Amino acid sequence: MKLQCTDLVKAYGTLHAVDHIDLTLEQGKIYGLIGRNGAGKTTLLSLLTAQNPATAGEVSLDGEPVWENREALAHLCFSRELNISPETGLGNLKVKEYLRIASIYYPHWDDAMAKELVELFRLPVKKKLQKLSKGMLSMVTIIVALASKADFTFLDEPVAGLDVVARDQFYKLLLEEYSATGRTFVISTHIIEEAADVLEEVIILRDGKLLMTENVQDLLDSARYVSGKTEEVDAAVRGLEVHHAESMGRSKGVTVLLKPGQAVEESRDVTVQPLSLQKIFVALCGEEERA
Amino acid sequence: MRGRNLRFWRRYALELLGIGLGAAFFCLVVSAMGAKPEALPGVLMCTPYYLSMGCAFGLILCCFSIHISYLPLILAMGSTRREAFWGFLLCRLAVVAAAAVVSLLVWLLLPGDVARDGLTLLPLLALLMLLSSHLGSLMGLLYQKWKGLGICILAVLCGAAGAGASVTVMTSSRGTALLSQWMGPLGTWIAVGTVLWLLLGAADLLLTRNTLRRREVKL
Repeated sequence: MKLQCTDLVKAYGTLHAVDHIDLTLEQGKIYGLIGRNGAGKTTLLSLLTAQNPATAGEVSLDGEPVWENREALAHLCFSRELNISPETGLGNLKVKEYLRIASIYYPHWDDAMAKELVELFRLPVKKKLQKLSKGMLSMVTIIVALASKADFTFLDEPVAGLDVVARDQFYKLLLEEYSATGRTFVISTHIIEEAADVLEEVIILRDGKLLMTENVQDLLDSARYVSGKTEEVDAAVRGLEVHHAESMGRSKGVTVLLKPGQAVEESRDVTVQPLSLQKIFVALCGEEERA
Repeated sequence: MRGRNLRFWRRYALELLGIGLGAAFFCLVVSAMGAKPEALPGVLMCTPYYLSMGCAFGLILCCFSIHISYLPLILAMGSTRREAFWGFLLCRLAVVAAAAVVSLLVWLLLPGDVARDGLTLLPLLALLMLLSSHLGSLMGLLYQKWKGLGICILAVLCGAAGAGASVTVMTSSRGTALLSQWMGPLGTWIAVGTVLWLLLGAADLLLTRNTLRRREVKL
C-alpha cells in the first residue's frame, strides 16, 4: 500500500503553505516530518488525509484519489494536535465522548487498546477536553492514533506538553505497535533528538517545499561537520555539498552532505565530526539566519 | 463508512430528541404543579406543544454547535464531506419526524378539543421545528464567518424561543385556544411557513454544502 501525492499545492492568496510537493509514503515505515514553525507540516498532513482541500495536485492511495473516498479514508488516521479554544466548541466534549466518536468512525478501532492506554496514561475520561492540560490533550491524540489501527497514521506534535516519562512511554508504545502491525506512522515533531531513534525516514520541509526525503541512517552517515582554519576547511570541502557555513575569526565550520563514494580528508588542521539529526536539520533549515 | 456515519448521526438524533423530551417533561411538571387534578388530562394533552418547543429550541442550539464542533470533528476522523452533509440533514429530519409522530400519538390517544386543534396544528409545528433547524444551522455558518454577529442573532433567537416556551407554559391548557385565536386562518400560516421553510432550507443546504466542500479542519 502506498500513499502518494503529486504536485501538491495549498495556497492562501499569494502564500504557498505547501508548494508543489511530490511525496510517496510506503507501508511499514516510521517517518518523521520535520520543519520549522510555519514550514507547512500540519497543512501537508491535512492535505494527505483529505482534511483540507488542495489548491492543486492530488493525493492517492494505491492510485485511488483520497478526496471524498470513504474506502481510502478508512486506511488513514490523522490524530491532530488538539487546540481547545472557545471558538471550536470542542472543549465541552468529555474525553470518553471524544473517544466514543473516534470508535464509531475508525473502522479498525481497538477498544481494548484504547481502554488500556487510558489506564496507562491515567487519563480522566469523565473530564471535559477544556479541563485537560496540554500534556493530557496530547495523550488523547496518542490514544486515538494508536487505537485507530489505521494503516497510515499521522501524528501532529504528539509529544507536545508531555513529560519525559510520558514521552518515553509514547515512543515505546509506538515501536511496539509498529513491530506488531507494520503500520506506517508519520510523526511531525520539533523534538527531533528524541524522535531520531525511532524514525526510519525523515521528511524535511522548508517554506512549504519538500527539502529532502531520506533514510535517517543514510542521512546521518552522509552528514559531517568540518571545522578548522578557514583555508584548510575550504580546501577540504571543495566539490562537496556544503550547508550552513559559520565563520569565527580565522576559523570556520561547515556542514557537508556526502554523496556515495565521497569523503572529507582529515588533516591536522581540519576536524571532521558526525552530526546528530537535529544538527543536520539546523544546518539545512537555519542557514538563512546565519548567513 | 456509511454504516458508521449513520451510527454517529442516529446517536446524535437520539440525544437531540432526548433534549426535546426533557424540555417537554420539565414544562409538563411546571404546568402540572399549579393545576387541579381534573385539569391534569388537559395539561397532558399539551405535551406535544412542549415537545415541539423543546425540539425547536434543541434544534437551534444543536444545529449551531454541529457546525462549530461536530462537523470538523467527524471530518477529522475520516468522514467524507458528502456523508457529513447527508448525515446532518437526515439527523434533523429524523428528530422532526419523531417529534411529530410522538405528538400525533399523544393526540390520538388522548382525544378531545385540545387534541383536535393540535392535530390541525401539527403541520405547522413540524414546520416550526424544520425552520428552527435551518435557523440554527445558518447561525452556525454565520458564526464561522463573523463570530460576534452570529452569536448576537443566536442570542435573540434563543430569547424569543424561551419567551415563546414560557408563554406556552403559563397559558397551559388555554394555550391552544389562545394560539388558534391569535393565529387566525391556519392555511395562511402553513403557506407562509412553507415558503419560509423552502427559502431558509434552500439557503441553509446550499451554504452548508458549499462550506463543507472547502472547509478546512481545525480542532
